[in-house]
Amino acid sequence: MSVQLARLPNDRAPRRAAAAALLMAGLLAFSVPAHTQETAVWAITNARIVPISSPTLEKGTVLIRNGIIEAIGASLSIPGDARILDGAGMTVYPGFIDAFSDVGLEEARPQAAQRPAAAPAAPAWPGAPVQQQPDAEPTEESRGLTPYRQAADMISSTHRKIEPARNAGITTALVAPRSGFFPGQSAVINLSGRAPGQMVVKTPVAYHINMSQARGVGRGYPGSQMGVIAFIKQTLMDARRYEAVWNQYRSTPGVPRPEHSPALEALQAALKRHLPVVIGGDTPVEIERALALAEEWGLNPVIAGGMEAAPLAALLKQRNVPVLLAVKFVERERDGDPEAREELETIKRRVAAPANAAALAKAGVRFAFVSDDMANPRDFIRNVGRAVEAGLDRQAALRALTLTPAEILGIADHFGSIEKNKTANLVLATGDIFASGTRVKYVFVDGQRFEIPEAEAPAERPAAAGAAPPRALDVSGTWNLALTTPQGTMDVTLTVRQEGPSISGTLSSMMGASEIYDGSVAGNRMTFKISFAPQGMGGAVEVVFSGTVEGARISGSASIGEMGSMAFTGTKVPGEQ
Amino acid sequence: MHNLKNVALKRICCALFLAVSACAVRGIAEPSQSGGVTVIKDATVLTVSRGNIAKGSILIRDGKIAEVGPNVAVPAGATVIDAAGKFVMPGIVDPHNHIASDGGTNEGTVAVSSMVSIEETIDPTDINIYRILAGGVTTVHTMHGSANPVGGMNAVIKLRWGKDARGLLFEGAKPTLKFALGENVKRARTPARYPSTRMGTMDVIRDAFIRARGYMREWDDYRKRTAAGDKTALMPRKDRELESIAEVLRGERLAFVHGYRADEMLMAMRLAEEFGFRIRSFEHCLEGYKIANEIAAHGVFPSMLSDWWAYKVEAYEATPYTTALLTRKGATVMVHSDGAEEARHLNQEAAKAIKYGGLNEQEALALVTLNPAKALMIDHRVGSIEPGKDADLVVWSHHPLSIYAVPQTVFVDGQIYFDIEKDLEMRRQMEEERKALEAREQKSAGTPAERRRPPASAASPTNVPRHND
Amino acid sequence: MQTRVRKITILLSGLLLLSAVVSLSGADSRAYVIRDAKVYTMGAAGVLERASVVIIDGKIAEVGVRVRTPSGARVIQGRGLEVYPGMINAMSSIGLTEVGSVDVTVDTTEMGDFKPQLRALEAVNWDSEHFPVARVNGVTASISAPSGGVIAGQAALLHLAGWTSEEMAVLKSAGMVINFPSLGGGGGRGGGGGAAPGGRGRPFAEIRREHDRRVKELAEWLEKARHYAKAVQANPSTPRDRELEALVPLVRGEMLGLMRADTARDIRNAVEFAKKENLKVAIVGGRDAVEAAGVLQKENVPVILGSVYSLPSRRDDAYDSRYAVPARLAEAGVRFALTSPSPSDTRNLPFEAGMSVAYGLSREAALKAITIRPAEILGVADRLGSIEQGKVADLVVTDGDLLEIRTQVKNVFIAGKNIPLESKHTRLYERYMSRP
Repeated sequence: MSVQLARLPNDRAPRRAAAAALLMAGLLAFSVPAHTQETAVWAITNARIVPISSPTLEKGTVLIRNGIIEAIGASLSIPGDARILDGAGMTVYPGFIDAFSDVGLEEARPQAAQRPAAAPAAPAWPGAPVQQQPDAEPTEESRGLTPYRQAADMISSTHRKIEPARNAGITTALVAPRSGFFPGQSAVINLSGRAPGQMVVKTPVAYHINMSQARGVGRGYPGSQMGVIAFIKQTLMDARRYEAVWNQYRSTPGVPRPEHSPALEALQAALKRHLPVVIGGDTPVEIERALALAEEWGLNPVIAGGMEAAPLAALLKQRNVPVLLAVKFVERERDGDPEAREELETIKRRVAAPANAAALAKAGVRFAFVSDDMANPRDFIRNVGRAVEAGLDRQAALRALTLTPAEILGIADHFGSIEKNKTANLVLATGDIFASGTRVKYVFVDGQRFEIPEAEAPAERPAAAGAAPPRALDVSGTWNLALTTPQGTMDVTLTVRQEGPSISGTLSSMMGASEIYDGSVAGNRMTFKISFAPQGMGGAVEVVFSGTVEGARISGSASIGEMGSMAFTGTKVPGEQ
Repeated sequence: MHNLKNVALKRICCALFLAVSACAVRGIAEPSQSGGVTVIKDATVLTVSRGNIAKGSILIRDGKIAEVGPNVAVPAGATVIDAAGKFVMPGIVDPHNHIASDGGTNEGTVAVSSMVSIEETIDPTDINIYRILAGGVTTVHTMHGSANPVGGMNAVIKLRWGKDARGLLFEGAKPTLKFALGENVKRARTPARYPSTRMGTMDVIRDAFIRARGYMREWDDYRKRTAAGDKTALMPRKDRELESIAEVLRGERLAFVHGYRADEMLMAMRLAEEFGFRIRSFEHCLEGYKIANEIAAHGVFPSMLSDWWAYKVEAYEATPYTTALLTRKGATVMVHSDGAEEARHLNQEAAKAIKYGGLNEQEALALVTLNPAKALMIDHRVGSIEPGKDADLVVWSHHPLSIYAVPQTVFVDGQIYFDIEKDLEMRRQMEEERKALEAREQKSAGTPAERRRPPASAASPTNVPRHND
Repeated sequence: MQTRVRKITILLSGLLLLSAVVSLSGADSRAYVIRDAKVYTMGAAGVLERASVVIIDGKIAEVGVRVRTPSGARVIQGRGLEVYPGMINAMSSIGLTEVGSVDVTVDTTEMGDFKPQLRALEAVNWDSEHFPVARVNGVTASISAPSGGVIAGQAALLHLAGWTSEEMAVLKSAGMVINFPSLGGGGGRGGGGGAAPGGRGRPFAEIRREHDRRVKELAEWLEKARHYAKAVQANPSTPRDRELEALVPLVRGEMLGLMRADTARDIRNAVEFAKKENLKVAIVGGRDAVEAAGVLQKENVPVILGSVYSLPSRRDDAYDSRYAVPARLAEAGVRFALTSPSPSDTRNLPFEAGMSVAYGLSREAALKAITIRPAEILGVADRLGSIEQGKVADLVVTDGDLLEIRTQVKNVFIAGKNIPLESKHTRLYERYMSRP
């Protein structure tokens, strides 16, 4: 019964639960409120557990009691009251956190009308120009100045985006009002679909400023990018003065009473750095502007978007500015002109997009992934996977979906990892979350289990090429390779981990290391790829290594697209497994 | 083809495993470093301020012109650029253009938009920066549009292509504010906006100055009371809109006034006189010839479109002789582009003042170098070739007043930011890069990861179009 | 002193002006000899040093180092001067447009997509201020063309002086302006370029459908015109159809099709279309003609180029890509004319040529592209475009290189008339120069 209820689409869950309960009452002559039927104690057993905050348990158990993780371990004794979920073949991750989303938020559009609705005055004489209407006094709201608005007040537990997000493994999200220049303050919510009050995890979390847009909320001022920036700066200047004059008024008799402003009042916590300020920006120019604004006004900035942040990685690191990193990669237009010659910039931007996260990680920039309201939340995790393919360390990617956002959002005491006493937000996937074919099977939010319908699973790819062929070559270990380049021979070290037919590892030289990917062993051939970003190329280039292994020797070639290929030979370092 | 591949492969191998180039994503070429000391040798040097040197050399040290003359000793280790047979002139100063700013050049929603500033929306990635640089321009006054009687604050930039927004700003340039008169201002708008006549335009400007005076008084009063120990004086609001106008009244910000018709410009001068300041420049100034005496007397630096006319009614009385006429009547005249294409041949536009009205060569060159530098009060830095000034220089294939003149090398602060040979090399590199990227995409399009359904990408709130075409 | 000199100058120029007007008014049968000048004939004789040109009754009677001076001829001492054929602007709407932003003064664009019967000549305002402004710089003839829809109507070739448009007409119908349907793409024009990140055009399939429909429609018009011509021949009482009638010379290859196309693909499609339909055409605009140079050269289709003073249409394009188009076309063996298409800029035609030289075109080719080439393309090379015996006396006399901005025009002859070098601009200049 409870399982069945939990499987219902969440937006209808309460209603259907009630209906089902009534039905039960009629048939069985007893009635139990639906929520009491939730299983309170779960034991997820035999699963591969990726706690993030500690090393992966290849086989272990997670115990959940009343929405809290009670224990995690390799050999836990299962309490008698626990309902067992056999996690064999499954990987357990902390619930994914979408660090900026519009899921669950029912935002009333601020009233944008800037002109009186009244008809224009009649012409003074036939043909006379119509009398100009004076501007209606714009309100704070009509000007997009609503820093006092709280996302927490706008949560809808029946929001249509909650279930698709949760089905993708997203259990928690930062949500913020969007419209206006100072749209309001954000909240972190848990995607349980329970009453709004139960969904809110933390509020307020941050202020938000929309600066990179060339239009206002209405048809009035500001109507350009210049105007938007001027408006934002004037507002911050006003907020500064607001504090000063009210202090003066409070401390000094005889001072005329300043005007009250809810908006300027609300901004004080931002100016005092009590809360961070999330400023949108994707391009280097936008991000530079956001950082300059924060610097000028002493704000504690967080960048949201950051799609092209890589060139500013050093600056972001230096200023210790976290990035809520979007992975909404630009795609080539599918129905576009097949003969169109794309701008190099466009191609570069597209090719560079997946490698952006890796570049930020390399520079040590703190970032958390955000879906940026992608239409399909599954694409969110998939695109994080693409960032991994493009060179982002797998572990770093996972962290940027879990513990790092929890830290940035100030909820790491309760979220972001699988640890005792943390909130029981978990994702059970059929394998490595970034591997193709993997699907999310169960999601726990606040200890409540949601079984993800099979139909929703990605059907594009069969699971990992079916059964593994008879165990082939074991190439695990370290290899010394000599690569013949037009500049001469380059020595490279390859470290390989093999799992069945697939291999992972790193390729390193005196110039640095690259994660290998798409690695496999078939027969006596080993292939893998690396991605690197040569200077002036504007993005990562893929090198495909393919070699024939004979005992401890390998020889083959590394090819770079149509550019050509380089031969390599190598030997395995003995003494290692 | 094979060769090309090989070159590309070499480049890739060179870069193998190196860090991602910070500039790569932005697509900006770093300026060539020509070292601290450079000598441009044996060119015809057109100093603009001090005549021509038939076979002269220019010594550049630390971004400044250290020495100019027929006999300049080449210091050891200096980079020498042989410019024999070529011509060197100061970098062109374009006193009116709208490049390198994004998200709209007009804040057209209000009649007074003096709170907005081009400086805050500088877009260093605008390709027109490079294109104009290749036309010999090194400094641009990039301006707010002409949609408002009182427009926005403008910016003076140097075309240091590759630098970020802050790196483009001309350090210490005098701030300016745009005003506009005539058709553009009074044009019908949706929603309707006051003014819709030239009368109303003057009314709005006068009102803005009256308000700015009130604003100044309010602050003066506050400062006086505070200085006298009065603790009950409430700090007035700092108002960006009135602050920039107050700066004009205090002479701290220069008024650049878009005007076509003689009547509107004459009245604007009178209005300025009413408020005790001088209009620094009339932009376009097409009918300026009708009030040449008044313009000269007021001290305006007319900023001309060389030979544009008849594109609207207020341009129907324009003549290409105005530049020469105003010069002869005693004004310091400049020629501007108002557009990225026009800016690429301002040398030719200057030559038109020789054809139409008979200016001499030095006078013509000054129209696009020294005169705009004077108008913008940056002539201590740029506008002529003199020791101590910034080494903003253009090496031309022919005399720059010849139609056949093509910039060969353009220096800003002694650095080469454009070079015709390097440009060719860059084009080749871009072609290689494109091929490599396309090959890579082709390849990865075949991998399963890419075959997955792509995310449906709606415009993200942080990803609105950035360019106002 | 200064003022007095100026006053005298003005008086003199006023008198000169008067006499010039008088000479313009009558049938100017006067003979002229331009003596001892450097003559760029643009014909087989090439450049003649210290040569003379004899003008009688509007025609060039003789060109050469030794010529016979007719009695009573006015002599222009040409020592140190250069003589060129009058320049021909092969694309413009001069005479149809007065003030660009005021639509009541603009007669270029009619309603409807297929209007072959419209004739520019029937709307030319011969008192337009643009004519004198253009001719005092040495431009002596220009196309005046309509521009709207798919078939915009018939362009006229005008002399830039005359009492009426009839007098000015060199060709009443110089060509049929066809805006060849565009597939868009490249440089942000049209939809479906596919390059804009974030922004999306219409699906390309949709653009192609629309394009194909338009091309089919155009072909159908031509087919109907062919049929109409046959019908009229077979049965003279066939009811008159003014639209199809207008297309008959085009489908017979007797009238030039002025096919506007800018992208390489559109140019290729237009050339292919013209070949299939047996039309004699020139490509107008030709922004990306370099990329279509192969087919243009192969099919011997000339290009009437838009202004080279243009920004590259794509970010990636070389900064000088538009300046270098003429040079590239010349290298590829494509015939072309240079133009200054905006009527108010007609006077800048020589600078279009000069700029092309700066970016790689030979000076000779540049001069041709504004004289004999447009005459050839427009089918009037027997009358205009070069200084050769028997041709119409359209000449410009300068004190130096015609393509240089600093050069001054000394005389302009249009159909043998010595045109006063006076325009609205010179008048305003004189008037306000004399303001005390």
